[in-house]
Amino acid sequence: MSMPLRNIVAAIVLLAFGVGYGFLTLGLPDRLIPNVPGPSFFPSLISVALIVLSLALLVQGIRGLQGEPVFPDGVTIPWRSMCLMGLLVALAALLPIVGFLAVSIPFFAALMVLYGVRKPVYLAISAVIIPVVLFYLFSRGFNILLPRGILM
Amino acid sequence: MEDVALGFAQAVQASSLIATAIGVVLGLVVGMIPGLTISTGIIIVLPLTFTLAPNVSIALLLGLYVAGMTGGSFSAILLNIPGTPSACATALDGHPMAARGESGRALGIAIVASFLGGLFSFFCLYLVAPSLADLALEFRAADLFSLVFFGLTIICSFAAKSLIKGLISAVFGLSIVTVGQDPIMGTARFTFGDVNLLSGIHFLTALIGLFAIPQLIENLRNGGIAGSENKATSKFDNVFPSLADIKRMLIPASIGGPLGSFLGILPGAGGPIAAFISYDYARKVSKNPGDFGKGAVEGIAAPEAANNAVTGGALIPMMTLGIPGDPVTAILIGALLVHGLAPGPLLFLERGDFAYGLIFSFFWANIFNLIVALAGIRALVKVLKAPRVLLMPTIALLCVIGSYALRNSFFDIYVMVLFGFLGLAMKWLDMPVVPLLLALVLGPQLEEHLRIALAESRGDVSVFFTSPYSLFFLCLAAFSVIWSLILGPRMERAKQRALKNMDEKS
Repeated sequence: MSMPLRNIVAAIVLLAFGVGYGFLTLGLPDRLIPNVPGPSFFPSLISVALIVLSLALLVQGIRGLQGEPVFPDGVTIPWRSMCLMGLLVALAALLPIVGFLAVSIPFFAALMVLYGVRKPVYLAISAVIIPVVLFYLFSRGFNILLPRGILM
Repeated sequence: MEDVALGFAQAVQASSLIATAIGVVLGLVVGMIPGLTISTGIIIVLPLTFTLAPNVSIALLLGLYVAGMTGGSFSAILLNIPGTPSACATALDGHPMAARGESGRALGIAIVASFLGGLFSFFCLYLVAPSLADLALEFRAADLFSLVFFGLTIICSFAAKSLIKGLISAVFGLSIVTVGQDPIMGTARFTFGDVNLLSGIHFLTALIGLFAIPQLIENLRNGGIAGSENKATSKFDNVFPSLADIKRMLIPASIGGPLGSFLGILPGAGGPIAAFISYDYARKVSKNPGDFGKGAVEGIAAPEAANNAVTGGALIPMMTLGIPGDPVTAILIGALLVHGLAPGPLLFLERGDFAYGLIFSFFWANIFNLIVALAGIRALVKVLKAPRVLLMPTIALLCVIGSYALRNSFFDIYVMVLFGFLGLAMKWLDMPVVPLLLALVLGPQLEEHLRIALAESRGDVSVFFTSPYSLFFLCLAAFSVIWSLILGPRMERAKQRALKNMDEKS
């Protein structure tokens, strides 16, 4: 996707956000004390700024579209990046249930595979040792209680 | 005077000195690895510091900050890949010297010049910071608003490509800080009835997602397995600079030190600009300007002294005014807030011992940086061959631990992942992240001072122009914007020209 088209997509999303934010701001109390700006004062300024800037980005994107290919050739989908983000989401979702150790070992192994490791023994040893060392370093060494999960 | 003595005593405690030394080692390693910035290094180490005493914690982080600048020059010299943006100028002469078989000499010059620059900025910090803090105690709400507004003009220098995108990034950041209780009346805003949102989005959680996650992805794209070995990294001569080299370093270091300290104080100027300006001046005053770009001693010393001097300079507004001079000091503000210490003029008044302890820890960080870098360079350079397949997953786990450990909350992990997506979206849009970061740091103060100032003046906005301090900061803000939008791009073009010349030579 070309940069002008990206700008247009972002501008529309931000415009929707700005309008939604402004709408929620209307529901906040205005002036609770005479002559003193209330809780809605600062968000009101922000929503106006967001809407104006989104419109400016929209105009910039539309102007930039002229004469540029919208979908340049050779664009590939970043599968590995998407996998990494997917793994992070899975880790965040599973952490409260299965705990740090149980989820971080497969997470670490999966990341090593993503970064290109293909040696199973090296992968298995590293994926166990490093999360275990981190777990005990933080929980014993620094008294930071990492989640053990509700299954344990 | 009592605070100075107490601060010195804090900085020379065994725990503080050990923390500084560990911070220095970590900083050298982080700075050296291309693809890891000092900001990311500090974010990774942050969770380790939560349970440490504030003075020990800040000593570790300062060690990392100071040494990170020097570490960046190692890979710039040895591999021609600057470890940090501030080390770009060092590569111009550092790598040619290393390429002709004088790696040790080039590294030694960089280390000693870094020390000289850092030492100069320590004296600036020690002498200027307390006086500035005294002055800042006289500021009223309108002055403080204008001051914070001036701090926010750093945004313009990070939005050279598109001012609109820089401003959107900042305004979006300001919208995030409005989530939670409002700072004056305590009214819940944009919480949707969720208890977790009442205390707002934690600045550090957002930071981890915004900075570290996109970096993990970036390293994924660049290929995970590193390990660089060439002529420059494989063999070293003596790293201790000769007397003749030290003599040649004095003039460029005396240019870089003051210049870096001054530019460090200015919001947004930062290490890369200081290094390039210093390099340029050193070439202008040199008797042999033709040697620059071919491995000149002055060409390494000037940018290295400047980028390390920036660290002390950037700490001045951070400590005295609560205004970050660069992204790293913005993170340091967050780290201090975690320990219940708010940087600003009251820091010297209420916790003078801690403030001076920080200044002296900065001094020790420079001393350790010199010793560790000179003595351990051979071992440290092995890090350049370390497999990133282990480093990157470890960083990912540390991001999760760091987010969770802040408040022992799973909610913060979700927020971190969400901000990771936001960081990627911003990269996709070529939108600068630093304005958002600054808005997260300065946003609450901006709103608070604005509302108090308007309440005091009964809604009269002229209060911002009638107070001499406020007017001064607004003028500075205007100057900062002009500097960023007119002079900044010029500097960037000069930098690009220099980098192009470097590429052609190599």
